[in-house]
Formats: sequence, structure tokens, C-alpha cells
Amino acid sequence: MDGLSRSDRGTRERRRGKTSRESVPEAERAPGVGARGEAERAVGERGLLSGHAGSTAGERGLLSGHAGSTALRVASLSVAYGNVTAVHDASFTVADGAACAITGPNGNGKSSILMGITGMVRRKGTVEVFGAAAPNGDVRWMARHGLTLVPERRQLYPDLSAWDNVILGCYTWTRSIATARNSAPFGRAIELFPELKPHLRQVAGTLSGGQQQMVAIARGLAANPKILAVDEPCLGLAEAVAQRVYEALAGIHADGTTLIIVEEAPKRALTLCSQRVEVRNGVTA
Amino acid sequence: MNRVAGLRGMGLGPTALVLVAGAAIVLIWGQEYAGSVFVLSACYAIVTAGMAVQIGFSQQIAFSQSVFMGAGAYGVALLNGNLGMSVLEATPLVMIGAGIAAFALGVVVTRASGLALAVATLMLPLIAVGYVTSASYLGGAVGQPLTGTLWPGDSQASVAVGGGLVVVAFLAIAVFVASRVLRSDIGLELFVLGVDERTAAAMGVRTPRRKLELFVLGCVFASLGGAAYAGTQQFVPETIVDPTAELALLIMLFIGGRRSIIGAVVGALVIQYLQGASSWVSVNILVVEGVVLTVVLLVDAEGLAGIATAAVAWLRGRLGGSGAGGPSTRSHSGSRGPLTRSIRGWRAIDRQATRGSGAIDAELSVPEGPATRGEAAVPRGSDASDPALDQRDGASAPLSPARGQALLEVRGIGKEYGGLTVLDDVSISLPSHGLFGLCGPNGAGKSTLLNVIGGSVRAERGQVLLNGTDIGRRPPHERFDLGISRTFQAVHLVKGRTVLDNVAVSCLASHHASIITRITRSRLADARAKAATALRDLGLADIQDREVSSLTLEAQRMVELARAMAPEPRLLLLDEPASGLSEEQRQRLAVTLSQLAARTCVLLVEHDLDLVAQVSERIFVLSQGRLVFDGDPEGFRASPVVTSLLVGL
Amino acid sequence: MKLGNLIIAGVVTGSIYATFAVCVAVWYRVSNILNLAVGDFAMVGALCVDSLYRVRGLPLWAAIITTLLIVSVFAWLYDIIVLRLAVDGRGRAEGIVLTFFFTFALSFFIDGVAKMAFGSDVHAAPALWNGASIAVADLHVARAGILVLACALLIGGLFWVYIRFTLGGKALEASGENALGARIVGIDTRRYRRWIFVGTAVIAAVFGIVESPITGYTYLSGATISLTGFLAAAYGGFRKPGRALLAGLFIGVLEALLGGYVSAEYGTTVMYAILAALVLAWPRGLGFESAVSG
Repeated sequence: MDGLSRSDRGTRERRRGKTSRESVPEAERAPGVGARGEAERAVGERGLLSGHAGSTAGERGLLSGHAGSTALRVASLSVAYGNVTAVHDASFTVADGAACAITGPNGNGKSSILMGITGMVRRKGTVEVFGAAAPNGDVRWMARHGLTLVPERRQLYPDLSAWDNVILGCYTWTRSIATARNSAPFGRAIELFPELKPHLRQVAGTLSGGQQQMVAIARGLAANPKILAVDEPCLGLAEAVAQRVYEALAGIHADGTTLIIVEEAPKRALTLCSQRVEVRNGVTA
Repeated sequence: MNRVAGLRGMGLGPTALVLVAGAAIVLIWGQEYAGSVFVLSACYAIVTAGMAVQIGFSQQIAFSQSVFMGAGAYGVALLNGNLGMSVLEATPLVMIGAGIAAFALGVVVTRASGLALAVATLMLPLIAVGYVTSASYLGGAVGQPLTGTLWPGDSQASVAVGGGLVVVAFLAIAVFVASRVLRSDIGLELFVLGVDERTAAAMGVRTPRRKLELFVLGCVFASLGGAAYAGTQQFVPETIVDPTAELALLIMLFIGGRRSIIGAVVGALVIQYLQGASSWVSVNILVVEGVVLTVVLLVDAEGLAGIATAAVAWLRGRLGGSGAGGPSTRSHSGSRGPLTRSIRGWRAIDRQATRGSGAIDAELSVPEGPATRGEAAVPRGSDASDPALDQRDGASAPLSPARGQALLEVRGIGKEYGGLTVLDDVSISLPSHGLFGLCGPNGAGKSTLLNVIGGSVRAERGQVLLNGTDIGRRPPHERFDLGISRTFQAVHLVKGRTVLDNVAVSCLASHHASIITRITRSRLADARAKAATALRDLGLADIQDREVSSLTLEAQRMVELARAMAPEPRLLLLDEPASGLSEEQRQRLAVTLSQLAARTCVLLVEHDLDLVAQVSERIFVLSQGRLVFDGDPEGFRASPVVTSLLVGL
Repeated sequence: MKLGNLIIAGVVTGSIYATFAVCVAVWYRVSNILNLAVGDFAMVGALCVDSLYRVRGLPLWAAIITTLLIVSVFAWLYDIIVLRLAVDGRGRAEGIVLTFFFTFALSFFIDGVAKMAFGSDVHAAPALWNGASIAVADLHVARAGILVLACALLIGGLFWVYIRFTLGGKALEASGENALGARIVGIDTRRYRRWIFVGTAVIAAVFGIVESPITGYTYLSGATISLTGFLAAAYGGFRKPGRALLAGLFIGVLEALLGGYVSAEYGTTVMYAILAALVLAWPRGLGFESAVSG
């Protein structure tokens, strides 16, 4: 709980500084964050018991000031690998500013849904991001339209430094290293995990699992996403590190970024997410 | 997809095919142009058959064939020209000479592996061509003519046909030896060698020795091919040792199918006949070869043999209707033509042997689970005189040492890589049973410590004692024999083989035998029986006939665990067995590990601290090469050192 | 002054090897494919310019531009047809060995076509900078040699700056290290592969044009150049263009010194023996092991 309030404070400080990239006035948002901090704590406690924390969802939608607008709409999405259909006819929508958990046992197609949405694999069905229909199999389009994936097993560039890994997130919107270095998203990404600072020059392959996950999330954030899709962020991490990762995700969410989190164990995801998409045997429930 | 050769029967099928078809071609067309092309391609096929074993299956990429083919050819030419020996007399002498030379060269060269081996041997043709073109006694850039012929006949016809038949016989011998190598138990070792050398060594495979044997085998085959070439062509051009010649051989291998001996033979035929097809082709052979190789590889990475297999499978799917795909189709092999069958035979998994071990499985199915395995499960105990040297095969008494006595003692280990201290004065000691965790941030030296114990890395300082005997200077495979078994972070299973065969690798009891004994007396069945038992112990009996790449990551990790467990080690080293597994799967793994710990000593390297704390009775924590914590899970959870290092990051 | 001249000659040859090594290394970084056909593009460059200029009578500049166009179009077509099928297609060619064989087949193909088009005699593109070799005291440098050296430095420097200091360069590295991870941030790995492939082919062709007046090329020269460039790249650990450059220079100087002091006849043989011994004695230091695992 301590951690949560710390991250919220950090978020507020950052917003007061330079990184606010949305037009929502400071005055409107700042109190909201505090209130949301409370709400989150409430969800955190309730989430453990009930699983669905429906009541806070509306509250959050109002607070983020985008109630009603849809960030992501997925309709009859199917993904197949050869003859094996991993996802069958999945449909759901995620509201702007919401946090959505995609849960279900391993091997039931959760990751495949994300892969299909982002275009990493070919899909059937439609995917719309803020109302724009996404072309099939075009990851770059997705990245440019604000949906960034933090993939399962992180997929870093092991021989590049952590700093290089993070700045490559900026490749989605710029080709100039100078622009990237001085940009707000990059600054925000680098500041996201202060404990990563001493390791930024280190080659990513030699970082610990937790540090690598942090680099992956920071890279995702450097892409300046409106929607951040995180696939199994805590796989193989110790409990305390997983908590730290979730703190950071909560901070990103508090900044107004829509979150989609794929988790096998819904418990932790539902401390943060108000919406839950359950996947069983490739079918959404 | 079983695209890789299996181990069926005695290896007589392809040999008979080569012998009969080859002899028929020579007898019918021996005096014509087509026949002479066939004989020439048979000479090359002898070489490529050896390459299929060495390069295709074992992934030991050495560019030494053209040099030894040249050595064989020049050797025969010199013995024939200077000493007046007949070509047939000279051939065995030349092969022996080539074998000795290959051995001497191989001792140096096969120390390298992977790319280093390829680049080092790439120099051989470059060196050879420079030498040959300048050496006047070899005819220099002109080449060396022969007076004798392979078959000393009195007429043109008898020379051609007799010589052709001898070449076919040579080829049949080569194919027979190559197929025997692959089908005997040593074949399994070579497959693992092809996947990963370190894993092979950790499974008890004598990697340096096998690599040397493979190198010599490839070179001897090449010299036989060269002798046949010299004897039938009666001229040795200096281009025979050229790098281009080496590349041409590789093209034959890859067009035919690098993992099929028949394919390698067919590849040689295809290239030679293409050259003879028309004058346009022979002038522009480079273009043709380039296009053919590109097209064949685009269609199937396993070359013509792969295409043939796929075509057969497709045809059978069309004809067989319901029985498409999967193991069931393999049982129809009787209805196919001889060529098809022989190709299938190469590639199909040995159903018979599998069924055989299945029967054993059934007989032994009474004892179930670790508890009933009792005696066998107790780690090999101490033999008063020299306990650590008690070999796995020996009938040692199942006398387990007292719980307090250390099975493994690591004393003051220090290791540096390029000035960076990876391990600094690390000492741990493990008893004969139980599960012990080894944690630490990345780069703390966990894997290095495991490698030092397993033998793939040698420490600069300190000792590794197993039951009181210093094993610090022994190679990994010897440590395996002494009862140290391990897994690696990445999964290294042999794709295209069954679970059973993958596990059987570590159960082969004849690692120290030479390749020749191994070929003549294969002990594959024993190993498979033992593997089946181990699989049943871990509850994997139902997947033992599955091909490994069709398994989930969890199942693959379990198969690796089974492979490490099957030889009943005293000490099991596990490197991050849970990485990539989900929470549920981790829990299942935890249960399995606890069961294993009841009968052997397990040292577990793992990032998942919760898992480690859950299953271990004692935990070691390394940081920057130093042991910073050593205690029980409660102390581990409470320790501020651990928290700051691992949890707080 | 023999030593000085030998070293100069060695540096010139070495810079050729170095350039090809850099091309091999850079493309390997992007695509994880070892390219054995780089030298063949150099051969095509030289022979094609010679054919267009001397035989067909085109002006030199037109001959050069046409040649470079032919090379780049061919490389581009090869990428979108063969490499696309081989690397991105359904039956993905996996592993360094198999993809290597594709470029190997390409090398055969180019050599064969060159033989058809240009015959098998020794030819060279016309010298771009005419005149006797430049002498400083007793040291002699051929003008073409200076051009070669300048090109090598320029190309090496450009690649270095690109990889070190631009986001595009880092993206290039990223796409070789983790193609999936690269696609996530919007890096078009195929396009990088294609442009670097076409780019290295053009660089090789330019080199062939500049260098051929020194040695003269036949349709088979490409393979030899590739091989030495490949070796130099190998000694640079394949993934490190900077080290590949140094290794190329080293091999060139070593070759010249051995040819001058040991034996003109057996010089190269001895050199290859030394190179082999180096690999065997010091595989880890030369980066062979990391290249295999990485």
C-alpha cells in the first residue's frame, strides 16, 4: 500500500513537470488522481474477494474524462497457427482510459489475442483503435496509432544497452535520435523505474529478469502509447518485483494511458483492472 | 513431422538398393557415356555419404572432404606411378594413410567447435590448393596421370565395367557403414551432438572423441572416393582439392538432402548428370547449380530427400484417406514401392524398437512411483576404496552414505573471465539427499558455479569434491559417469526424435566404447528400456512415443528432467527449470522436484524465489561471485541481504 | 624501404578485405545471414563497367551508373523473391548453415551469369584516376590504391557513425538481435534487411570498379574476394563491423609481408595456416563462440 501512494505521488510530480501530453487541464486532473488513488486501494482490497470490481469502473471513466469513447474494439477476432485455431471469434471493447485484464489458463489463447490485435500474427476479424480500422498484419500501423505491446518474455535486444533498448521504443514516432532523447515520452520512460538508472549502460542480456521486464515496460512507454498492452508482466518474477511492476503500471494508467494486461492469475491484475475478459479454449467469455 | 532419419533395422535396405541398382546400371550402360557419368557420380557419392553423417546429422561442419579426396586420389596415383602398385592394392593403403593423417589433423582441429571448426577447416582446401599447384612431384597445375586402372582388364569394356562394379561396391560399403553408424546407439549420441555439444557432454557423450571419430570417418570416406576417382578417371586434376571442389561437394549434399544418406548419394548423381545433360549446361554449370540449389532449398530445407518424403506422405494421405498424418500411417509401409520404402525407412521412427520397449514397460509396470522404486532410487553409495570412481555400470551396493556426510563439496572456487571475477572463494557442501536452492541476481555466477560443478567450465582456484575425491580436472562426461547429471537453461532436445529416444541418450551405458564396437554391438534397446522406466516415474509414459517438438514447453522441460534423472544420478544440477512456465506448471514442477529430492541431491538454480523457498531445505545466495547467504528458507525470507539483493533489486 | 612498400601494398589489399568484411558483418547483424556473394557483386561491377565502356562504347559515367543500377535491381529482386521465400516464407530456413547456402547458391549463379555475359578472360574497369603511382621518398602508392583506401575508410566510417549515433542504426542492430522485439516498436525488419543487402551489393560493386585496375578480374574472382572478406568478418566475430575492418587490414598486411619475406609461392599458404592456427588457439577471444550462440 505504501508503494501505491508513493507511485501516485511520483505521477503527480511528473505531471506537474513537463510530461503532460494530453489537453486535460491540470486542475481537473490532479484531484482526480488522488481520488483514484483511494479508489485503487479500494479495488485492491475488494478485487481479491470479488474478482469483478464493476462499481469503480464508472467512477474511473468519469475521472479520466473520456467516458464513452472507445479505445479498442475487437470484433470476431480469430487467430490460427497452421491448422490449430488459438483464438476463436473473440469480441470485446475497451473504453479509453480503462484498464482491462485478459485472463485465463495458459495455452488458452490470451497471448494470441494480443498478437492478433497488434498484427504480429495474421488474424481474421476486425480491430479498431480509436475508431480507425487496423490493417491486418501491420504492427507498425498499430504502433503509430498508439497501441504498443510489451510482449511476453520481454523480447529485448540482448546485446544492446538498456538505454538503447528504451530509446528504440521512440522508433514508432521518430527517426531522429536527438528528438527521441529530448522527448517527453522518453523522459517519462527513463524516469519510470528509478532503480534502473544505474543499469542503463549495461547490456540488456545481463540484466536480471525483473530489470529486463522494467526495460521492456519502459520501452513500451517510450513509444508514447495511448493503449499499452502488457503480456504476462510478472512471468518468472519474485513477488516483490511483481508488485513493483504493478506499481509502475498503475502509475502509467494514472497518467491516462489505457491498459490491457494479460495475466494467467487474475488476482493481481484485478487490483488494477476494472474490466476483465476471460479466455477459455480460445473463446472469450 | 518426423523429418529426420530414424533407426530402423540393420541398415541393409539402402545398402542393398545401392548395390543392386548400381550394379545393374554399370552392367547395362557401363560402356556408354551414361554409365561413365554414373561411375563418376558414385565416386562423389562415397564422399557425400560420409558428409551426411558428419555434417548433416552431427552438425560438425568441416571443410576437409575435398582435401582428403585429393589425398586419396594423389596417393593412389603416386603409389601406382612410382611404386607400380595396382590401384586396388593401393586403395586400402591410401585409406589407412588418410585415416592416420586425419587422426593427427583431427586431434588439433576438432578441439574447435561450431563456427571455429568451420573456419579453421576452411583453410585446409586453401592451403592444399596452394601446395598442390606448386608441388612438381604431384604434377603441379597440370595434374597427375595414372597408368593403372581400378580394374585391370584386358579390354576397354572389362576395364570400364569392372571398374564401375568396384566403385559400386565401394559405395555400398560406404552407405552400409554410414547407415550403421546412424542406426546404432552411437547415432543417438551424434544427434545430440548435432543439437548442442555441451548438452551432449553433460549426457556422458565423449564429445572430443566422437568429433574426432567423425572427422576421421569423413576423411577416410573422402579418400576412398578419391581413390575410386583416380582409378576410374585415370587422371588427378589439381582442382580436386580446390575450395570450389569442396563447395561442389556441399552442393551435392544439400541438394540431395543433408540428413539422408540416400539423399546424399542422389545429390551426387543429380549434379553429375546435370553436367552431362547438354553442352550448354556443362558450360554454364555454375548457373544451373545455383538455380537448382536455390529452388530445392526453397521447396524443402532437407533437399530432394525431404521433398520425396513430403511427396510420399502427401500421396499416402491422399490414398490412405482417414489415416493421414501421425504415427498410424507409418505402419502401412508394406504397401509402398521399394524406393519409397527405403527413403521412408530412413526417416521413420523405429516403431518396432519402440513397441519392444513398450512391452518391457508393461512387464515392469508393477512398481509405481518413487516410493516403490526404493533400492534403485537410492543414489549410488560409497565403495570404501574409491567411492567417487565407482562407475555407473558397476554393480555397486545401494549403500547410501549417512545423511550428514557431504556428497559434494565445493571448496574455495575462484573463476575469472577476462579479468572479471565471476566466482570468488565460493564454498558449499551438499549431502546425499535433499533439494538445495541457488539464487542470485543475473551475472552473480550461478550458472558458472553449476558449470564448474558439471565440468564444462574449469575453475582457476579451488576444489570440487564428490564423495571426497577431487574431480575438478575431469571433463564433463566423466563427471556424468560419476553421477553428476544436469539440465541447461535453454531446452536442448533432439527435434524429430521421440521422447523415449531423447531420454535414452543419457542411459547409453557404452559411452566409452569406440565407434567400431558401438556399430557392431548396438545397445539401444537397453537404453530405451531404462528411459521408459524413468519416463514412467515422472508420469510421462503416455507421451514417450511423441515427437519432442510437438510438446509444450512444460512437457519439454519435463523430458529434459527425465533425461537428467534417467541415469539415476547422485547429484542433479538444474538450471532454471521453471523459466517460461506458468504458475500452475510451476506448482506441478515443485511437487516433482520434492519427490526427486527424496532420493537424490538436487541443486536448483532458479529466479523464482517463491518456488525456491517453497521446495528447498537450504538456500545459497550468490552475489557478484561471492556467497552472501547460506541458510534455511525461513532465514532466506527474513534475511535483509536477500531482500535487498533479490527482492528490492 | 621494402617493408614500407609491402605494408602499403598490404594496407591497400587489406582495405579491400576489410570493406567486404564490413559488408558481411553489417548484413549479418541485420539478417543473421552470412553472405558469401558480396565479392561476386564486386566482380560484376568491374566486368560490367568494362563491358559497357570498352565493348559497347558507353561513356564511363553512364557505364558506371548503369552497372550500379543493374546490381541494385538484381539484389533487390533477389531479396524480394528468394530471401523473402527463404527467410519469411512458410518453410522458414532456420539456422546459420542453411541460409548461408542460399547466398552460396547466389554466388554460383552470379559467377555463372558473369561467365555467360563477360567470358572468362581477365578484364578490369578503366582506371578512374590515371597516372603513375605516387612516390614519397622510396614509398610507392598506386593511385587506385589511394582510392580504394579512401573508399574503405569512408564506408567504414559511415557505417560506424550510422550504427553508433542514429536511431536507424540502432534499429538495424535491433532487427538482427530480436526480430520480434524489433517489429513491436515498428521496425520493418524486412526493409532493413533489403536495404542493407542492396546497399552492400552496391558498395561491393563500387569497390570492384575502383579496385579492378590493380588486380584485374575474371568471372571467378568474386568467390576469392568473398572468401577472404568472409574470413576477415569471421575474425571480427561476424557481428562487429569495427573488428571486421581491423581483421581485414591485418590479413592484407600479413599476406603482403609473407609474400615479400617468406615466399612468393607459398606466402598465401602460410598465411592460411597462420589464420587456421589462430582460430584453433584462440576461438573465444576471436568471438567465434559468441557468434555461434548469438
